[in-house]
Amino acid sequence: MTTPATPLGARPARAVRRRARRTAVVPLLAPATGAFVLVFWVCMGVLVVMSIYPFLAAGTPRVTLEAWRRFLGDAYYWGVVGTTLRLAAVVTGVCLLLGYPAAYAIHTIRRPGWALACYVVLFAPILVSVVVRTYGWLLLLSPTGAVNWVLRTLGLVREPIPLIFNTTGIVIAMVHILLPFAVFPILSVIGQLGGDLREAAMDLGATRWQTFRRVTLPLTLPGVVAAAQIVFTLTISAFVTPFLMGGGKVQILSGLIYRDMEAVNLAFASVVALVLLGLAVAILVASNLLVRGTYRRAEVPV
Amino acid sequence: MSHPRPRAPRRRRDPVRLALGVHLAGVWLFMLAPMAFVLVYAFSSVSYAIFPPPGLSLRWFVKLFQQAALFQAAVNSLVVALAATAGSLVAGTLAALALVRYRFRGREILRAVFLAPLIVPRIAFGVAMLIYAIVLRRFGGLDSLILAHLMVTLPFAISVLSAALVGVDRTLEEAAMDLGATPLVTFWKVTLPQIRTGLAVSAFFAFIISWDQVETSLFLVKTDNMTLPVAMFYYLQRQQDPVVAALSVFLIGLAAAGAVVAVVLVNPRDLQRLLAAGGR
Repeated sequence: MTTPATPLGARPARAVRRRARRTAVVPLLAPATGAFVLVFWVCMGVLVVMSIYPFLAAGTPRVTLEAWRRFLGDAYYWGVVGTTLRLAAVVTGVCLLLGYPAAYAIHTIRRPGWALACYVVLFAPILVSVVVRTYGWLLLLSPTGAVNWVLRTLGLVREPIPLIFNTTGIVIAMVHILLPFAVFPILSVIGQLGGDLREAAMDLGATRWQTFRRVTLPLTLPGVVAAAQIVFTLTISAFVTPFLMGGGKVQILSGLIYRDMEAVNLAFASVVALVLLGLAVAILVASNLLVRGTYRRAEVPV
Repeated sequence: MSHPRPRAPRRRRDPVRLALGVHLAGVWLFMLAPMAFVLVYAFSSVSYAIFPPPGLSLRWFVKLFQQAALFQAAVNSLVVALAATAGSLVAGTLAALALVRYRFRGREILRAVFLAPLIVPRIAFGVAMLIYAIVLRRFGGLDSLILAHLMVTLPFAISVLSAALVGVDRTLEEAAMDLGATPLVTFWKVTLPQIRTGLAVSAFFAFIISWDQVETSLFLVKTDNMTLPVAMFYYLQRQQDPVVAALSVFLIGLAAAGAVVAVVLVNPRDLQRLLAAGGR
């Protein structure tokens, strides 16, 4: 970045400074590297070791694949993996179905005040504890709660319908918690979209639906994939909301971990934790491939 | 009818716009309803979730103020959140400086080492952290909680502060140094003021993430180092009376204040970009 306008005398001093600063990288990196390696990465290692060498259990520890065999060899645990993935798929689908039009609607708002209000309404709940929000849904959806009261008053149902302690309740509360994480990525992609292509499509005689289907949607697909990835990953690892809303009736991986930790079965909890981690990584890799694919398709002239 | 205006002229009573407006109103209702009902039930006269509540009372607030354990948990949460925030800001700024300003071998590997905790499910990390705390005989203290939360807040701070540092004008620093300022003085008086939004955002989210952390803390807490969200979680499991609702009145108030501060502090575009990046 040396320009001809730099005073000549400054140059050697700067060179010395640069060299001196190169050694500065070590103290700069030391705190974060130390913390991550000594806590996070050792923890990950401890998790793997515990899953094959239960060293805190009673008796002399030995290397054993017992916990892994118990998980992988039991159809029940595969069922729990299936429930977890299905729940995440449903929550992701609902979040996208509600989130995409919401993002689009916020994008079309002209008055900055209203747009700001929408940001606040979507953002503020994130600051309220997940426990509090789940409690709110327990109150709303209970058999004597407001939702069932409205349904019965309108004469839509005779008996209160079960909305908590089942998958329905989990999905409703999870969608509430994750909807902002679906809206914001989509909103940021829609925001980058100029009106030119849409305008061109409309001028060429495309209907609004065709314009949306052939122009807007493909161009915003990367945002949709990003939103789906965030929501899916957060759902499979969520614990508080599925646990409280499920009331012990719906078992997913995080609940399984909690159950085994309560039973002080550290080896098995480690196995389930590693399975969950493996799923999260697999989803991340898959969605990154998908994003690359959607970008490539978006580059094709419409 | 091609014209240079970026959007088609608005038509009144456009059915698509109307449908979008109705949808957005529904989303507002959906997002705000659970908080609104928690606030209502805090003043209910009965302990169970019946709608409409048969009467009003302040008894749950009275019962809340008799819960010394919850108060202690709130103090613990505050200490842990402040420590994790401070640690994230200091270690995060230094690490971001190194990652943004220097080209060195293994930089990308190091970045992966720093950001990987964002991918790991928190409850899985909680299991690992408990085992590690037992091995180190640090189970049951605030120190293990602070370190666990730091693993969640620090990657976030590093990514926000790296983005902020990329935008810093280097010529100002060069000018300060040419005028005789030491590197430390330059950093303090020239660099830091330019990344203050990044610092504020990092601090804000680090605090929120730690303050509302259940999954990472769950297995690390005993009675002495209980945190507020975990205490509420256990309280809800034992009994579902509106003491949690009464407590939530204060928490929702704090969150509303926080939201106002955030909107004033950060412009909504930045906020959106941040949340889009998965700042959770």
